[in-house]
Amino acid sequence: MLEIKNVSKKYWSGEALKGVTVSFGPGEIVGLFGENGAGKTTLMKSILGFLSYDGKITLDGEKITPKNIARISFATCEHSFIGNLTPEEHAEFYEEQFPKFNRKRYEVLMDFFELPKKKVLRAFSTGQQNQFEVLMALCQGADYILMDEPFAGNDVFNREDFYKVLLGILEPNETVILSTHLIEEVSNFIGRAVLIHDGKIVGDVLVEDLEEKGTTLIEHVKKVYHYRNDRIKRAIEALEKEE
Amino acid sequence: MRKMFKKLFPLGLDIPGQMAIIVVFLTIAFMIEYLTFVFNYETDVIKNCYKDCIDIYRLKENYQMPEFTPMLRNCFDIGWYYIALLGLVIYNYCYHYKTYKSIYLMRRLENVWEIHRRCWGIIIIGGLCVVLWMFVLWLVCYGYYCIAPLPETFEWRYIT
Repeated sequence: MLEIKNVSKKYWSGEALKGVTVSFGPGEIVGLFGENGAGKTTLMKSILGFLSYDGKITLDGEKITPKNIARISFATCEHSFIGNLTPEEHAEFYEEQFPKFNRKRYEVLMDFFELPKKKVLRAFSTGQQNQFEVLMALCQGADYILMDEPFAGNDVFNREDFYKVLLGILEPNETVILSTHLIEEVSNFIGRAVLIHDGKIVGDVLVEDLEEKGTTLIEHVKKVYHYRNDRIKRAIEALEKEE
Repeated sequence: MRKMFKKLFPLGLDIPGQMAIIVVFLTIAFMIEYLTFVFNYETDVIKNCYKDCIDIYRLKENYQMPEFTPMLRNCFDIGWYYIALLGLVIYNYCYHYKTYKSIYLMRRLENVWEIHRRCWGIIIIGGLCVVLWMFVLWLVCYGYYCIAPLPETFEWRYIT
């Protein structure tokens, strides 16, 4: 269980996280949604220990330290790989550093995404780089896989393929926490949605509960964020009046 | 051995490029320090072995060759080399932030010293190169001291 208790994070420009309390259990596929600047990336980086914070983050009751950090993997749109290395060189490094690195899954996913193994990553297209970033996060052998907007630059077919593969390959104890803006796309394969707004958790709902109520995830998100449909109409009317 | 050597550098770094920077820097430093030694040599030799005859220096009859060690003054300022190597250490850390954020990978490793070993390894490699270069410089200077002939006359120049 990954537990986040009353976590706050302040930057010079303001408070990015305000008393966030949430937990993630084994085997969950969680969508983490929020507007730009809501605190999604800050939350993920705090979990990984990249940022200092107030509060408590534990993994199965223990603080996250170098001893257990390998149980968490990270795929980010900023790309955490080394551009001058080939995928094969990355795999060798991962095998050295992460005892549970899944070589078989690596080979299967590399073939599935048709990524060249001996080409340096800086020569890959953006979409290929995104695929590789996510691939390595999945192959690390981690129990908790954090993905921070990993699909920026990937086409819709690519993303569809990825969701299907992800559902197929994940072990029952593997947890995926996926931060994305593509709510409608991922709603079909996530089990839980956590909504974050202005540094606070404003919603935490199971997708099947929404389905029972006859609501879609996007409708629920709009309701939680008090999305005003009439804003666009009023803005256009105001422009037409000026003209 | 090659693998161990590579483990002293950041992953994917252009190692030949970085070694080339060290070699070029040491070569330039070598030239400067060699010329400094030659200047010191001439100054000391003129002071001890020649008499000032207005416009020209003439070799004394019973001259005594000055000691070699004082001629090495200002030649082995190793501190500057290590300041330059620290610059490479900073470059190695910055390498993990530019273009791709491999720092996120390196900070997730169980071995917290992996990134520091790879960034500071240049101090070991560079330090060994500096020691080797100093030894070669010392040999060349001593060779010059032993072999350089003393002419009968020396054109006048200002000496400290």
